[in-house]
Amino acid sequence: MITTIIRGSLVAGLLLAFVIGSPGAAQACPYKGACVDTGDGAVTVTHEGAGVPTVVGVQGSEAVTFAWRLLDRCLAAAESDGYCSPTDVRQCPPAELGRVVGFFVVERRSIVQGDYTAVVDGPDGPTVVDVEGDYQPGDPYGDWRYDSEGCFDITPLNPPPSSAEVFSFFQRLPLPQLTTQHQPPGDGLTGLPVIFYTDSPTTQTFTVDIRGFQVVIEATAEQFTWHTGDATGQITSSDPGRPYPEETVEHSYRSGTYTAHLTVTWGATFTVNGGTPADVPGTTTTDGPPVTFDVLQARTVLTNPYD
Amino acid sequence: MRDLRGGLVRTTLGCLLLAVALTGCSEKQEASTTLPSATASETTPELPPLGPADFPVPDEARTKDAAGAEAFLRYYLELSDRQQEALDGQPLRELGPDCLECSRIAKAFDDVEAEGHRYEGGQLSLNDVAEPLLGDEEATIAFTVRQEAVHLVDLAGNTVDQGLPVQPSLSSGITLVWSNAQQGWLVKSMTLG
Repeated sequence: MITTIIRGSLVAGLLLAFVIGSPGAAQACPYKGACVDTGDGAVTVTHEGAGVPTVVGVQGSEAVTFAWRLLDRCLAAAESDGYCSPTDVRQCPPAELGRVVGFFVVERRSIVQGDYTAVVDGPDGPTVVDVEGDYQPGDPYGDWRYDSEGCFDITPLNPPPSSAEVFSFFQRLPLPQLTTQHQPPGDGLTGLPVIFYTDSPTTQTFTVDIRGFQVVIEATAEQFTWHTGDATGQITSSDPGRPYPEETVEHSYRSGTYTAHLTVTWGATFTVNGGTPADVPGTTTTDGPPVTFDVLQARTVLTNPYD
Repeated sequence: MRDLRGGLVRTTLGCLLLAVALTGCSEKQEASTTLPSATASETTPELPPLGPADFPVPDEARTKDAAGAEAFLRYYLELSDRQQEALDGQPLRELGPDCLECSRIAKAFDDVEAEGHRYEGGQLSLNDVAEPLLGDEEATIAFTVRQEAVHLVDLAGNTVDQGLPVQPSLSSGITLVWSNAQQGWLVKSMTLG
């Protein structure tokens, strides 16, 4: 059985996705001008290009009079302020697997036309101006201006997988179900703690194709929850335990028959096309197979060794 | 020999003043029947402080017209050069509280300071400035700017980031919004390149 826990709220998840998971966060341009979003990481602040007008439903001359871009306000705020305010977060309906839907601010910027004019979004609306100076037709003119905002399916823009998208794949990975080992083997004895450990692998690497991007997910067992099968309930450890005499996880039972099993919480990091590793913003758990054993009451018997 | 030039000057000035006074007394003067106008004693209200104390926004950049908007643009670019040198982004934020790009640049300066690095190069100089488009409360200005080659160095002067080559003409723009409270322009959005 595989269950999933999302760390905190959506906001926290998004923050985690960017602050920890975004290569862009570490590679934010430190210069004033001429900074470009290289788009080589797992998260991009903006999406630009010829496909944007179609994605936002702009057609005709307007599509070529302006350059268009989609700005992830949360990521942009995180890049400029170091954090993403809850007011910057908007939720969109869940996307089908393989589709990328997100909330974006649509911005547009004037393009110098063949007759050396540009339509500028001025304070009183679009205004045609004559362009003078070093500009050539096709050059951008003025600054990026707000146009609209909303949820858009940006799959046609072929964005690199976001950490949230990688997480949705991570949830579906066939992660190992770790087997519970116990000592002494067979029946246990009251007064003699039962030692628990697992010798199953605690890391596993998966390579998945997400819309043409090669994503390598490195899963690591982060927490081990030993379900003891008695009234105690469970014991939690950050290691997989060890056999005697280096045991780290043990439990004392009363006499009886018990069924124990191990739940493992998996975290992961991922890379996109060999880029900078980033954390997957969530964990998933696997339950290992149960083991049943008896714990017997030991009775002291005086014997004669010479008999 | 004693220098008599000072005494000669004083004597000449004294004679001139005496002549002016005598001329004034010899002409008939009508008594004034009106009080001095109230406006004559009014003073120009002082503008609230805006910008860093040692590099405030100049008065000519605080007029709600095209000339004021352009002057503010020139000031803000100069301020960005100054704060890049000082590695302090806060003044840029204060003059562009809603400007994402301003905040990004300001954070970059603060981050470079925190990492113990500094900039070499990167100064901006305006090439062309278009006539500002002026609305009731906003001004939009397109301009091109030259950015000198820039890179980052550590305290020992070793290059830690290759940076950017010179950008001779970055197509740029800025949108300003008028603040009645501050009696000046603030940056709403800005694009450099």
